Amino acid sequence: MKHDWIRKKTTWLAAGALLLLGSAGAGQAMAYFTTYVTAAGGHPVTLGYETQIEEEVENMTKHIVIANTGESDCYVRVKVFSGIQFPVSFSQEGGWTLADDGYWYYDEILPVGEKTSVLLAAIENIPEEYKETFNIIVVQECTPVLYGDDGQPYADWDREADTTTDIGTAGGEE
Amino acid sequence: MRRKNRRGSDKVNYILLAAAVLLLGASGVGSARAALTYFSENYTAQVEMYDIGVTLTETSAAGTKDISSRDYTGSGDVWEESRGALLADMLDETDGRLLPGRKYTEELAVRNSGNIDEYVRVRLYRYWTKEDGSREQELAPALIDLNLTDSGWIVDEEASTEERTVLYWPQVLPVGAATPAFTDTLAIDSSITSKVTTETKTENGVTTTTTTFNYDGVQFNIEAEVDAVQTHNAADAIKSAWGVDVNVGADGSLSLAR
Repeated sequence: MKHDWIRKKTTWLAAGALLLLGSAGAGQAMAYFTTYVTAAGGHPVTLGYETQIEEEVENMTKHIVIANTGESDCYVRVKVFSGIQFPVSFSQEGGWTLADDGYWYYDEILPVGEKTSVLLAAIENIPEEYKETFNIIVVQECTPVLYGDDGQPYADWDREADTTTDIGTAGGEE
Repeated sequence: MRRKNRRGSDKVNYILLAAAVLLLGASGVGSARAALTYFSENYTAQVEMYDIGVTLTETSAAGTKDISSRDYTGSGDVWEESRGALLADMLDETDGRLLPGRKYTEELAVRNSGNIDEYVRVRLYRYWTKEDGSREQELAPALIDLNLTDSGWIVDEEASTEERTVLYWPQVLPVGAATPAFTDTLAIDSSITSKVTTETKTENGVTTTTTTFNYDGVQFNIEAEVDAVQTHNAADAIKSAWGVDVNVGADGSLSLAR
């Protein structure tokens, strides 16, 4: 009984070995011609939009200049607030446009490292007793240059990043 | 009785040994014959080289160039390979600075650089990484707007995810021919510029507001993997190589079997 089993086992092993030998050839026949390539790439996104406001006060007139100190081009706008009894009158050499929302918009894209032209804000009719303490707030905002489908640049002021400067007393001293 | 049996099994072993030697010998004869055929002048004239090859090409505003290729040289397991980087010339359009929202030219296509016809597919990946190289999971891959063309490539929607797009070229790609581009432009959605954190502090009566962009410094990445396979027994070859079921029409057109 036992020997029969051994003999059978040997025969099965032999059959298995033959099958394996045969399938070695089959494996090669099943190989197909294939190839592949890969490639990758990317760039970092730099979002360093930063502007600085510079202002000098001479004869109750503020000289407002905005500088792009960031790493990306941007659009800028400015709004000036003052007490209602001291209206502000503006003058400029060009480049700024007053819109209905009360903001002065700089018409051009402000490139990195560049400054806007001067916007003059004059405060009129200030009585002597207020000249040392009057307070005017200038708000300046910048927003990144965006591009539409047609490749034209535009500004979307609903996504502005703003920095507010609170300007102190007259004479440009804090 | 026991001895007889042992003799019997010895015999079987000898027979098996002899069979094994014979088979081994026969396999040697096979290759010897193949070698003879190979060196025979009559036959060398008929030797056809089946060298498969594929190349990924990129067209940016700076022009068209081959990015990566892998072509069989026809001997042994030797491949002629080159691997380049995508998007290397992309920012030339804008003096090296990335402008969010702008559509940059990015036309990717596949060329058959081998000498047998083939079927090709492309797997496209897009994802964000942080400055330290790890994955940025908060940003949607869709913000990397790699626009697909409508030039005949089939998108396998079932195999595609938010990050990966699988595309099949549904025709035989003949030797030397190139597919139409499967992408045409790349734009980074400008909404990433609106994600800011502001911090306001007041010192000596002067209020300063500092704005930090949450995604300043993140990197967008795209990756393309191009696969090519022979056209003979295409359905079996594609199933074996790519693991997908396809139907191959009489004219060689390819469609996904679902």
